[in-house]
Amino acid sequence: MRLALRDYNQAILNALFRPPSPGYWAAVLFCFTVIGWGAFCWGYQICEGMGVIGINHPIGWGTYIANFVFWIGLGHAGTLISAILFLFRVRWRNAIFRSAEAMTVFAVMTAGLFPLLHLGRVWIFFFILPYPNQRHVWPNFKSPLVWDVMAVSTYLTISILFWYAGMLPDLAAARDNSTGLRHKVYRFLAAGWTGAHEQWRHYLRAYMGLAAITTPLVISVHSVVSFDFSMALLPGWHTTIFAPYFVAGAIHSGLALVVILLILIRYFLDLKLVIRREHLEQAALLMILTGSIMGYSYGCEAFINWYSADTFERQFAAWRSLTGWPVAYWLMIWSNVVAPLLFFYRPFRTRTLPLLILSGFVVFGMWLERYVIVITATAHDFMPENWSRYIPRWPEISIGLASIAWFSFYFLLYSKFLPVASIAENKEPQVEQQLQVVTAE
Amino acid sequence: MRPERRVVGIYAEVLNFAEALRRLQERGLKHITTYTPIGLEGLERFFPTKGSPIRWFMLAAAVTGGVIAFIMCIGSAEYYGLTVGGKLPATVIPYCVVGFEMLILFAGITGFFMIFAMGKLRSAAPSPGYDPQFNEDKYGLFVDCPPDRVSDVTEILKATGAEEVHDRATG
Repeated sequence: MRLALRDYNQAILNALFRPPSPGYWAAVLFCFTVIGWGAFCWGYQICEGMGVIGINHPIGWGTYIANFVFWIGLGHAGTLISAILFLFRVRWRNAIFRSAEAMTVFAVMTAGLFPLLHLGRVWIFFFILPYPNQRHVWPNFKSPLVWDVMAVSTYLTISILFWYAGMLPDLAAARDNSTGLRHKVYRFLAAGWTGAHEQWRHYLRAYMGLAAITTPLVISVHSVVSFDFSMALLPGWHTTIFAPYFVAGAIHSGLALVVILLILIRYFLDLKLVIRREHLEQAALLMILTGSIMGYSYGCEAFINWYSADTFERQFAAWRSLTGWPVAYWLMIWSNVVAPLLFFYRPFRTRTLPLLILSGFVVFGMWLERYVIVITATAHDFMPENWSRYIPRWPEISIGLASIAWFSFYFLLYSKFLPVASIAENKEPQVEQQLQVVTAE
Repeated sequence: MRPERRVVGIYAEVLNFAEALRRLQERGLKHITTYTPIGLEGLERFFPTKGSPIRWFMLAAAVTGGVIAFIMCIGSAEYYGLTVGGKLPATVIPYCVVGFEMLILFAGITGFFMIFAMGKLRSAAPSPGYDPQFNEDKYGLFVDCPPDRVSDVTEILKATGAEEVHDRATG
């Protein structure tokens, strides 16, 4: 069924203004409680020291860094859907890009917590920022860790601006249909938007510009994150394939999470006519592509390990996949490469349950990949006497779970306080189709 | 001379709206404001000002950001002057990452604020005459004209299928 222009306002604003159910508040409360437990664990870690978590020599990077890379990755699909597909004029993005962008913002906010947790002495985190002080500007700009800070903070800033800019016309629609305090908030956020030609004229150019600069940014961010590893000389980390491999993996996991969130949104907010099955299907098809890139990357990595004839690379690859971490490694391959191939079979990409299950596998598989990459290289370096193992302890497991609650908490708030799908852009195809007759003259 | 009257036409069909714009342009009426639920780039040819200089501001900001980043990185390296392995303190390649990120950051922030500055957006109520229907499915055409042309404009708006036509004095 095709919606009329006015119906888009009605459907999306109804989802926004409908009073939340008790289940919604229960979910918010649950997330808040889990976040509280995570905060307690962090406090415990600060009071007792970093010894309370599982990292120890030689494994200096544990689940915190794996989670950081994982959450940053999840944030990539939002920008892919909103910016890259916008530049290619892919129409199916219109229904889903808003929530994908929100996911990006919240995922990057979540990711940003982990380097702070990993720092230990979090109160001096600002030492890494390039602010002028009595020591001049003193971060080491040749360090991948400083690049990381620059890349992630830029990505978060631009993602928030892009998200908000895209929302302006819809916030005006919310302003026009609300009363009381909500009206005041939306009036402030809509900044007097009326849809006048003079506003659209500048808005469209700026939006295009933001999409154009966000596209290379999204490629750069996970490349920079991969440099944290590939700049080191360890077997398993020191490889040039890491940048494209990380970017593809990031988009892969992000798409899977977008599908999961969209299924929940369309069900709980009753947006089945706006976010349709074909939108989910397109995302699933895209996952076949990203999953195939992941398969190529895994194969390429294994081939280079063998072809390099480097003793350390060969023994490391064999240890990781055959004796040391075979379950995690092959589960990762299955989840990231084989499971998405099931989307070739149409019912798997058009029915909700298989979509949810397979997307869940991809998200889990990508977390596993980050975990395997981060832990195994330091656990099995050049010197056998140095080899060790890592078992995460309860504070870091709790904080890892709390990060899911932290992300969900923000997404729950977003789903009831901001338009979850673009009202204006969903109308575009219909209007432009009619206008083609005039503009072609 | 400043137009004294404003004729408002509200349309339900975008084709009628575009046709009215075309006819008004043919009659030499220049003080036209439109309100549309979506951005219609195809209609720009009916307006005297086309495009937007925002991309040039973004380009300038991008160059500024990149230059500042390199100055910051090279300046910092030269200030400390630590020579490692006989290499110069400042090395350009690693600074490209910082330069790229600041280039994007400056361009993005500039583009964002330019939407507000050039679109004259501020946290206030919408301009007088704005109708919430323009954010749903209606297209608004506000034509400012001298009193002797009101009947001409009204006729065009009605002839092109405007659902509502109003005539009022300009503020």
